[in-house]
Amino acid sequence: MSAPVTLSPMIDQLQLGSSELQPKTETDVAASFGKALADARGLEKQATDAAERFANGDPSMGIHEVIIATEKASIAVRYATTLKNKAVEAYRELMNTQV
Amino acid sequence: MDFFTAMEVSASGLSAERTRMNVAASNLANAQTTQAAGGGPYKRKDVVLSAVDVPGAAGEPFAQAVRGVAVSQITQDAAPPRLEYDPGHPQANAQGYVAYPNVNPVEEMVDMITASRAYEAGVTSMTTAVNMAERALGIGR
Amino acid sequence: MTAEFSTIDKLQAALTYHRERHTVLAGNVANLDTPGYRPLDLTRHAAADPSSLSISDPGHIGSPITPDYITSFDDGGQLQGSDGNAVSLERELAKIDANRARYATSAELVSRRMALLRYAAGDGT
Repeated sequence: MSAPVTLSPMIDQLQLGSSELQPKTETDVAASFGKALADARGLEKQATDAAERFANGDPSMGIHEVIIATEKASIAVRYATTLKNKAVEAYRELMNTQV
Repeated sequence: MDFFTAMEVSASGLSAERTRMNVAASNLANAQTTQAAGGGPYKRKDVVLSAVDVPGAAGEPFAQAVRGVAVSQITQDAAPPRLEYDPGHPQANAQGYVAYPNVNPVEEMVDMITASRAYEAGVTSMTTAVNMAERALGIGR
Repeated sequence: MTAEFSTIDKLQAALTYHRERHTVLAGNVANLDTPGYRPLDLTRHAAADPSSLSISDPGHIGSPITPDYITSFDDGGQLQGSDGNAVSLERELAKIDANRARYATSAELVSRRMALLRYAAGDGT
């Protein structure tokens, strides 16, 4: 679907590699993957941190705080993985293009 | 701070109301005790409640708004005993009056009922906190 | 990633507020029979701009929600009892229940938003 209406930049990004759209350049894919990885790493660290503080009985770490932190990290990792897959796919497409 | 502080607050209320109930029950049970330990008729007991700080809330910016409750003291009612004319009674004094405890059973029953109502409200409050915590656990499931 | 989570962050702030408010309201119930006790309540920052919507609508506030809680007495015009206690049990229980409902709704909204993001993050899987 080449619908121009998107919910967010992230969903926008997921149209990478879509044949209907102008294929993005390699740099764009690498850059957005790099950023997504950094985000995922950061959020994963926060989630682990939150879980440990909760396990230690830190009173400032509440149930919804730790659950939300964990879920955010999960989504970020999932997104980074998706971008990685798309990057690999784009690379393969490129390699299969007969010059 | 999580829900544990809210539960501490509710627990303090349950504890205080249970004391009130026990004291009212004790007063009722001894309404006719003319010879209490230490001599003389049983003296009615009263529970004094006061708002207190809750340890779990310490350090929070709005800690002063978190109020638990505690029994600050159990006092003896200083009202004079109820005198009944009964010269044949073994505890009758020289004038033929027997001193009965300064307990009004109706008042004690009312105290028990209000304490019971407050106890139930405390249970509702605590159950709500547990309920909210469970909703938090369900996020993302 | 931060932009996508901004709504969730606002909802999380709402969850925190409702939890803390419950603690204050629970204190009012605990002090139902305390002489001289006046019931307290917790509100979030007062709306300086009257056109901004009620603080109880998460996500509608233009500025980021800061953990600025205002504590205040809230007798609701309740006449004081003979011992000076101004707590109305019915009023407090009603507030507690309404507050609980808002907590539950915010939690549900977080869940649904996350489901959407998870779906998008997996590229429709």
